[in-house]
Amino acid sequence: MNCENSAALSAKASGEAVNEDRRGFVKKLTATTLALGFVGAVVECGRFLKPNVLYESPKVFKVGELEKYPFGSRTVIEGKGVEIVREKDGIHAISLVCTHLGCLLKPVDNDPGVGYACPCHGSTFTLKGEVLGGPAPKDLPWYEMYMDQTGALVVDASKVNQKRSKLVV
Amino acid sequence: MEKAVLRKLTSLCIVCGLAALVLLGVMAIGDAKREWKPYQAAYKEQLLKKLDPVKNPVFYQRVAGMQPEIKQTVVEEWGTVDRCTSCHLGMEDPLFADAKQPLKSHPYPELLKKHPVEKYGCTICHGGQGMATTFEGAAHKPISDWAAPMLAKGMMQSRCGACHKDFQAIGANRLIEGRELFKEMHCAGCHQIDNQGGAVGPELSAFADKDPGGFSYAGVQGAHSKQNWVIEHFKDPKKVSPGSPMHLPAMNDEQIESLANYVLSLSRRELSRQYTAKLKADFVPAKLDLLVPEGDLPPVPGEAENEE
Repeated sequence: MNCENSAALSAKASGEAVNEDRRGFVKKLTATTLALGFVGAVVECGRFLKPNVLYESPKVFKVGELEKYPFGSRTVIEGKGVEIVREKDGIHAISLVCTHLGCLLKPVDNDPGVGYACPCHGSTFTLKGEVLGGPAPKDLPWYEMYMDQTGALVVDASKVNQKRSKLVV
Repeated sequence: MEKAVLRKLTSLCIVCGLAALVLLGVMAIGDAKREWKPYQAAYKEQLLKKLDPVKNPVFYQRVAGMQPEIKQTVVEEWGTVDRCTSCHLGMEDPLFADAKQPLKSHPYPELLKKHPVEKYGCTICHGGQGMATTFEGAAHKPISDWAAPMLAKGMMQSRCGACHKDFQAIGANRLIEGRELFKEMHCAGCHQIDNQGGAVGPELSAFADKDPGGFSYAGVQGAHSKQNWVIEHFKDPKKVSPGSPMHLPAMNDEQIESLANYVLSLSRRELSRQYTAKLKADFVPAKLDLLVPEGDLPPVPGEAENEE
C-alpha cells in the first residue's frame, strides 16, 4: 500500500518541473515527523521507568478508629514501621525507620528527653523525631494522616508531612 | 543514485515515518485510556457530593486532589495481588450502599468487617483473577479452564469452608446441608475425606485444590470450570465420567448446589494463624462415615432394573 502510494507520488513528481514550495514542504514534513517521533519515543520510554503499580503492600493504609488511640498513647503499627502518637493537641504518624541505615527504631518510654533509639548504631531521636545523637543524618519524617468518611484513621506513607502538622479530630 | 529512485525512497521514508508516528500515538492513547479510570473519576465525583467540606476538610481536600491510580492489596502468604478495588472503590464505604456497580459497597458489611480488604484482599473468598484491571480479565464470568473463576452467588460458601472448618460457628447453611447430604447418601462408603471413608472412588480431602485442567469436560454442558464440572457430575455422574460406578439418588438443584459447595470447600491449604479462623475448644470434626448394615440399605434403582 505504502509502496504504491509513493510510486504514484514520485511518478507524478518526476513528470513536472521541480517545485521549490513542494520541496520545502517535504523537508518540513520530514523534520516534523522525525522530531515528533523522537520526542514521542523518548516520552514513552521514560514512562516505562515509572511503573503504574509495584508489588508491595499499599503505602496508604488504615490504622483503625480514633478510639484505639487514647490521649498520651504511642502505638506502634506492626509491619508498617510507623508509630501513631496521640497528644492533647492532635495525632500524628511518625516513621520508625532510622534515617541512618534503615533499622527499625525502638520507642523509648522511660526517658522523657529521648523518644526513639536505634538498636543498630545508637542514634537517638526526640519524641518529635529530631536527631539527638548518633550517626543519623536526618530527622524522622512524619507522614500525612487523615480520617476517612467511615471514621477510620488513614496513614499515607507515600507523602511526608513537611510542616509536621498534627491531625486535629 | 538516480533522482527518481532517491525521490521514491524519500517519500517511502516519510510515509513509514508517519505510519510509525500514528502507531506511537495509538499506543500512547491506549496506554492512557484504561477501563478503571472512568470509574475512579465517577467515584471521586460522587464522593465529593456526599462529603461535607466543613466537617472534615483534610479528607475533602484529599479526595478533591485524587489522581487515578491502580489500587491493590498484596497478600504475601497466598501470593495474591488483588487490584479489584481499582474499580470497586466504594466496597467498604457505607455511603455507597445504593450506588451502581462497580462502586456499590459490599452487600454484607458485617462480613467485610471481619475480613478487611486491606488484610485479605478479594479473591481469597470470591475467586477470579485479582491482578486484572478489566472486566473480562478479572474472570467475572466463567473462563474455560481458568484455575479459579469468580464464584457464582450460590457457590460462595464453598470458599468460606476452605478456612472455616466449623460450619455451625459461621452459620454456613449450604455447607451444613451439603455435608448432611454427603453423610445421608453414604458417599464416604467410596470416597475418603480426612481419613474417613472407603477407597473405591477418588480421595476428596483436597478436592478444592485440584487443578481444573485435570478434569474431562467432554460430557459437561456449559462452562469448562471446576464448579460446573462438579454440578454436572452430580446431575449425572455416568455422563460426565463414563465408566464410573458412581450413582446418586435424584437431587433437586438446590441440593446439588449444596453438595457442590461442600465438596469444593475441601481444601488442604494451610494458612498461618493470622489468617485462619480460630476453632472452638470443644470443636469435633463431623463424622462423615456412617456404617449401615447392608440389609438396611435402600435398593438402588439402576441395579434393580438390571436384575429384571
